Amino acid sequence: MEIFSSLLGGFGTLFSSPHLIAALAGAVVAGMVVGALPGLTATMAMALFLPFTFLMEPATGLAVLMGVFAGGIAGGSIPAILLNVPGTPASAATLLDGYPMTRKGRAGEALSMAMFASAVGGLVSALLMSVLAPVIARFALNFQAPEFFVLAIYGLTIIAAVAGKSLLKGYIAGLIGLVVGMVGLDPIAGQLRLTFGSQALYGGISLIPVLIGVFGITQALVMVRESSGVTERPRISGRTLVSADDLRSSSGTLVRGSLIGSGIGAIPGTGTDIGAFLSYSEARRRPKGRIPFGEGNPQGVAASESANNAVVGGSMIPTFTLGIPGEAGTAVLLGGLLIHGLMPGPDLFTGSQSSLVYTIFASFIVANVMILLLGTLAARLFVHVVRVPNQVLVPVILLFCMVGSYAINNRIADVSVTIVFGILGYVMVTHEFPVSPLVLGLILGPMAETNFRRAMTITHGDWTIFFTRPASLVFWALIVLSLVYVWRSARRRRVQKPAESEDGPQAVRPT
Amino acid sequence: MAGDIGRGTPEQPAAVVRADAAGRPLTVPLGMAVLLLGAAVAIAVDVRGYREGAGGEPGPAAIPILVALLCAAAAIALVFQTLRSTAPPGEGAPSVFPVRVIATVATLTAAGLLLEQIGFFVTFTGLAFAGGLLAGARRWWTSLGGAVVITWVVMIFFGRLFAVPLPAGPIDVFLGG
Repeated sequence: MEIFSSLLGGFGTLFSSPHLIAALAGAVVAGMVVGALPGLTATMAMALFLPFTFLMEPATGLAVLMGVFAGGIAGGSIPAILLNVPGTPASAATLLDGYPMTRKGRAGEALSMAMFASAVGGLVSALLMSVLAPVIARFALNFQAPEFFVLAIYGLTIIAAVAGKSLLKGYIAGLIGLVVGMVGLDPIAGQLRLTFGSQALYGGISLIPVLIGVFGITQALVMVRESSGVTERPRISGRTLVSADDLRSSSGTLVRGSLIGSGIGAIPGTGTDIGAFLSYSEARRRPKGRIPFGEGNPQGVAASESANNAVVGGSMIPTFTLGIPGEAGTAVLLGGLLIHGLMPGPDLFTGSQSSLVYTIFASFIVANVMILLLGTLAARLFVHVVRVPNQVLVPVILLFCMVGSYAINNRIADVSVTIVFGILGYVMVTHEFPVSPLVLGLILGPMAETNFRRAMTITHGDWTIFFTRPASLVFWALIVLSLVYVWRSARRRRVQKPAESEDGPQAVRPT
Repeated sequence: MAGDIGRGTPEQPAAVVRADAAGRPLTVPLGMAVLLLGAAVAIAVDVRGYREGAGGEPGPAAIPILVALLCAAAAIALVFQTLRSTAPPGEGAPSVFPVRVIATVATLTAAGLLLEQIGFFVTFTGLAFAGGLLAGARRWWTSLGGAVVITWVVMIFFGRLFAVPLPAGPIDVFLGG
């Protein structure tokens, strides 16, 4: 009951401020526009908007980030449906049925189904998040340094899950993040580390310029390298709204997709693409209906889009309650919380900050309703968005990255950090070193060290404290399970690889 | 860098030209290994001056030493993995550092260095103009016009609306920044 009254309070704050609603609507549109641009991700959109949010009131700033996140994931479905190119990785499953629908002249219906499914998935996950997050946070209030240390180690094992093709390269990216996180004053004794006499490094390397660099500048450099825009001219003709029959037949798929997405999102290290594909494959196992999957079945679009937006809400549960960002998008969101002076974790749900948290939750719910309205009404306009050329996008991205990194602390040093990490990010992504582990290492490294040393101080150096508390044991069990899963996946990949290479040399070419 | 990908020369047969499994040159993975080793050495040198931990607390050097060891181990593993994955001859992929990317990096670096000296407007107009050209703009004047407009809008937006003290030159003051 208390949760619902708090949530109502959040809605009250949101609707009592017209500029907050306007900012949220603008953020949803901006997120959808960036998501609709092939190659640009919701994470990059959030990184670009992060400095803007710093200049706003905390409630407005964080509502904007939520709007961009939800809008960005939903917007990714637009090029997937119109061009057969997923705007974001989250929409890779959407094109399987979305594009065949376009080829059959049903692009408008596919888009409105995608927006409807995104809204349903987002709303279901937002409600689950609003109910479960405070409960988990209340439980986590009992956690102390040993639990938080083991939790941070669990967070670091996620690196294996987001490592992509090469586990070693994922761990290397994570190590780079750990090294970067050690620069500056150490968290317990105040010892200067790895500054090598540079005063600019005394305060450490800030998270935000790093995020802007690895997600913003890196993307701009990749676009310069590829330098080709979309040449196809998609068109929307015929119906622009999904039929009542299709909605009725997809209702079960929508609910299942929303629940699958929410559950997957709550597990750190998974991500929107995994949720979407799981939901899609679950939908395929059910009775097919009149159109087979892969040939323009609206249920395919519903399964993928409901799940990928539901992942967003689910992934916020560990981020808000435990301070563990499960993937890159929530890592940027965590950065947004930090720059507004909010420390993610169970304490976020107590005291004066809790009303702000519920305003954020309420804004996520409203953002999903806006996705439905704006996405359906403006579907025809988004046809033009997907065709914006790189020569327009690259200068805008570069400019916003540079100005944004400067605006946070008004320091040229932050601009330099953004450039350096942008170049490093480019080198990494072009050689299959994932950048998400770098960000996770940078966030979780200091958390792990601080809590490790605090626990050792409390126990006068007794290591057994990490293995004797019940919650720590649960997290150790999760760590072991994650590592076993990763080991088995890597083994499976090794077995599959020789078989793939027999198919010909193109099997190992970059895609 | 582009030319050495898996093609070979009469003196050096293609089979021994080193590239990774995707046909990219090995310079970057090996450079990454050197970077990791460098980080390990830098940490090892830096921790010598750290104070001791007190009361059972391991001190500020403990985690850096562990990370340094992991960096060194990862560097060695990366070298082995990279040298083992030599691509077949003729499997070269395009360079990841084409001239356009190098020029963009140079422009970004120049913008970072010049921002305080010549002010926001000139620096970022130059950056946006160069970015547009390097991304493939066909007409330089449209790229320049777009750069001028967007930089001015951003300057007014950040400078006036959000009161961010952007580095100002004479032109910025003239344009209302």
